[in-house]
Amino acid sequence: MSSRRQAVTGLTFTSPAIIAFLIFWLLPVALTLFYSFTTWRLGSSASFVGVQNFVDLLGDPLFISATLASLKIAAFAVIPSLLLAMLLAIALADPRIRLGRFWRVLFMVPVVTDWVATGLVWQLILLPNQGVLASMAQSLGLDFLVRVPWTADATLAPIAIAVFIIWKQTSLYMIFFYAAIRSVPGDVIEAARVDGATPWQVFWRITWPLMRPITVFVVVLSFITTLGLFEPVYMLTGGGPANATRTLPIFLYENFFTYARSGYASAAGVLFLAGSLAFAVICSRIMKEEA
Amino acid sequence: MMQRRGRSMLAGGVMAVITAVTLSGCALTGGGDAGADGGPIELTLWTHEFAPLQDAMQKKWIPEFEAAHPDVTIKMTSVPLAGAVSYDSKLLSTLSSGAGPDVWDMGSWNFPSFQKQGFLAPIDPSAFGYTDDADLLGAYDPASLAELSYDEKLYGMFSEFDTLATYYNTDVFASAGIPDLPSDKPVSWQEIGEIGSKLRQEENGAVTRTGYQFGFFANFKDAQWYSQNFYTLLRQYGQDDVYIDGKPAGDTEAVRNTLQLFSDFVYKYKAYDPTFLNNWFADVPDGRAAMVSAGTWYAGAALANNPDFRFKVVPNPVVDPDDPATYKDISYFWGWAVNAHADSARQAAAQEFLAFILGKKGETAQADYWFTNLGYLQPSTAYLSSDAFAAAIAKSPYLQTFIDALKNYEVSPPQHVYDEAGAAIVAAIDAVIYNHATAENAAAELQAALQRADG
Amino acid sequence: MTVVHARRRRTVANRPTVGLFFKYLLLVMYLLFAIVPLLWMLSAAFKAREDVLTVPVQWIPPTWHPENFALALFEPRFTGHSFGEFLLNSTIVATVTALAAVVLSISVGYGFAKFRFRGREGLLWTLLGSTLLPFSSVVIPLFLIIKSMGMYDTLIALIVPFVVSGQAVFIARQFLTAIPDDYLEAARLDGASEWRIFRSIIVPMSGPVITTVAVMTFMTSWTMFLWPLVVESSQSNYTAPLGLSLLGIGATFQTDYQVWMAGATIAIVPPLVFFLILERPYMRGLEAMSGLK
Repeated sequence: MSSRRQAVTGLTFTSPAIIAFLIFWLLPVALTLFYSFTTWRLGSSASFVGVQNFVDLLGDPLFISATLASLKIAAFAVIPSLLLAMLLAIALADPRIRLGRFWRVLFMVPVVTDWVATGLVWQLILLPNQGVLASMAQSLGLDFLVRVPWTADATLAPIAIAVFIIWKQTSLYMIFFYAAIRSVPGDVIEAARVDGATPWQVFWRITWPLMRPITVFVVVLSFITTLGLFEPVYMLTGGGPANATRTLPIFLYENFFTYARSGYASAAGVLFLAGSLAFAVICSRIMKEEA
Repeated sequence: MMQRRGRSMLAGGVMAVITAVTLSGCALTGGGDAGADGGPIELTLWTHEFAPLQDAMQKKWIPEFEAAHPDVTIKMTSVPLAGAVSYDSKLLSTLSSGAGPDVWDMGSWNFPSFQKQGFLAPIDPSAFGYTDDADLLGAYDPASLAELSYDEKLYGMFSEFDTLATYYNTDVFASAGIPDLPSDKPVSWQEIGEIGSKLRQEENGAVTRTGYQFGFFANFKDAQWYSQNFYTLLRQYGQDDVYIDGKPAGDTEAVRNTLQLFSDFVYKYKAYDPTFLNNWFADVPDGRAAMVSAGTWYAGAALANNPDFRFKVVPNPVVDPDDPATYKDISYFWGWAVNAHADSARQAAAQEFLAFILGKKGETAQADYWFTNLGYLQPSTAYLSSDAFAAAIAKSPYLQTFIDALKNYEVSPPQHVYDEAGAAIVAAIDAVIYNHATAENAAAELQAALQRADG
Repeated sequence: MTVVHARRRRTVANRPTVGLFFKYLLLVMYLLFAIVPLLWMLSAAFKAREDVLTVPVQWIPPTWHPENFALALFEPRFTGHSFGEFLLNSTIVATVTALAAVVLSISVGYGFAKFRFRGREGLLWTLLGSTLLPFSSVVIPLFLIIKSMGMYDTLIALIVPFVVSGQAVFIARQFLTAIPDDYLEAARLDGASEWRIFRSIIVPMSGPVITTVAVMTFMTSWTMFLWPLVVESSQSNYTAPLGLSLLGIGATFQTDYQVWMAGATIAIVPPLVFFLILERPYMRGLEAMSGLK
């Protein structure tokens, strides 16, 4: 087949993707870039102000605190989640453990639900005085836990949100790690065992390095996804006591829809996008170098 | 050759998608439909979430109006007030997109900016039986019209006009041996705090009763109520707004005193517990809270929850009962608005509907219905001077306290509710209540936020 | 791709160890952590209001109230609209999106898998990379585009931006690459047109792609919240998660927890059922996504 014919056919088949990408991704990004340089407010007209929005953003304590809150929640959620996922994947991969389909499905249930339905449940679990956790605390005689405001205290709220996210996402990461572990060729492992390597050494020296690409993928995916999560914060705290959990997605939404500072919000969106992109690129660079 | 096949393939693919999508029906294009002149009209009506209002609409006004106007159907939606996505921001985003309901109710604080942005249609005096705009405006006390009238026209109609007072559960008071509070003179916040701490109950580490409920609380973080409770105190402490002469004034003695009082209620008197789950219309009636700050509409909703609720309404507490200068209370209202971007047929129908539920010139039956059933006061001179009004007061004496407040207190609306200054006020109060912040730090933070919002 | 481990003899290395015990313990405890909140939700859905939050926690409802589900579905506590309508909207949107995504991803995946053209790799990675980025950072401009296309406050707005997803394309490409090139070449030599090849060879062999893309797209579409929140204004266009968000602490001061839990249970059922039926393809899709970088 001639290369020209290939190109044309190939492009034809992939054209829906190209069109959709242009309209629903490239164009929005271009638009947001454009509006980030204006003082546009929803409902009125825009005027060009150059980089003023960006300057204001970087000096806006609310933007800084939103970024920090996002990073904090992401760290609290992703690090334990990935560790747990890895441990679970290792446990699952043990050939002596054979879990039937029923159990494997149960693991995935939190993942396939939506944030709102599960958010409602966690609201009632974390409610002080009367919630499920508080009730259990009373039954166990742990009175000091009863009135702890998990979602209303500035220090505890990010942790509460992180726990919700861990509960919801860990199984997903576990599946990725599990697939990675299982993709390591069995004869390599056998050979190492025959050579007298302990399971621990097998993991560190053979499995772990071979898992590197997927690990990087999962780290990037989990971190960026968690940074951009709107729903768990919205359901549990709505922005938290006095901005404690007012993360970047909430900041973006409020500035655009509630305060109608659309140019400003667009600028924040640009920074957010750029930051995520940078993180992804840096992570994959690190992976490529270590390989 | 190749191009033709490629193109047909592409066309086929695109057609498949379009077919699939359109086959799923025109139902997918949702939204309200345009009413052709003379054809049936479907009005979209939005209200804030409040069960008595929703019931009044669903069970009485909408059916009655539809029966009297067979060519009009009304579709009603009620949106919750609180949360990160409030009713107000939903209104703003949908109206500024050129869409939005045909008729809706909203708080007084929105009227100025919505009018400026051209969302509101002027009220048509003839729909309400008035001869012209001056006639319509003359039906109300001029002082109450500040946020509704522009260029000698009205851009909304009153739904309810409110001030705040204190409701308390008389059974709870009696069982704790606390004497009744006077209904002719306010008591001090300190006294309320002390009563609240006596009435607080705890069991196995869980709070089972709190003393006093502000309008904002753990599971209803609505900026409107933070603002209303805040401004009441701020003014009683001698400052009118968080801006003085247009400049941010967040770190003043009055602000610090206000925040200190909220802090005291939580930590010193323990009269208010931020961890206590609040069911606003059931807690006081059921005795899980002793006192609450609310308006005339509270009684109806409370009694719906617990018909055995026995209560008394007393004037809003003040900083110093012996100093009349501290007799300040906030007022606010909810008003009805018509969408300026709806087509003329729908606008006309919307105005008809409002006239139907609110009453035309000289009619007081509607105002009487709203006041006696929901406690919604329409401050039209006609109604206020009518026998029906006097009878309503006589039937529910607790309403007199609210009417008296209009006379005995200096009453005016809060300035900043859902804007950035309002959000800063919410943050300051939250800091003091939930983060154990000192009044000084919270006030300093408020000042900083106001200065940033200015830019 | 998945490797079968050789049957292990019961050697010293295979004897049950302390390590095995801890692994089991970990798995069991995590399973409890994952499932118990949802079991509580299920039990609360059947309780009377005052039994939902009690001390101590009652796992079996003292009295059974299955009417909570009917209340959640049909009671117009959202005035004029019932949760059943929201469920219907979600179902329509998710199904149409899944169908369109299947059709398009096979086409697009085939293009990437079997044809070489300039910019192919770049486009592929950009496409996949774009789905890696947080949705909440593009929701604002996407809202503006949809609004300018006149699709604000419609159900179509929930479908159209998602019929081409980088994930689906990638998965399709993964599977379709495996179709032997010689097979296609032979067909071409026989004079078959590209369209014919696509229709008669690729599509019939795309079974796994169809099921995987269908289930993944359905899930993503159903569980979306931020986008419907932003783009829908009339309640008649609300999806299930959006409708549910009208409930809950902080959204409303009514406290009918039992109805909230019943609604939450109902909302969880469709994607769960879809997952149970198409669990293998879904897992396969996940593994395909990861078995790449």
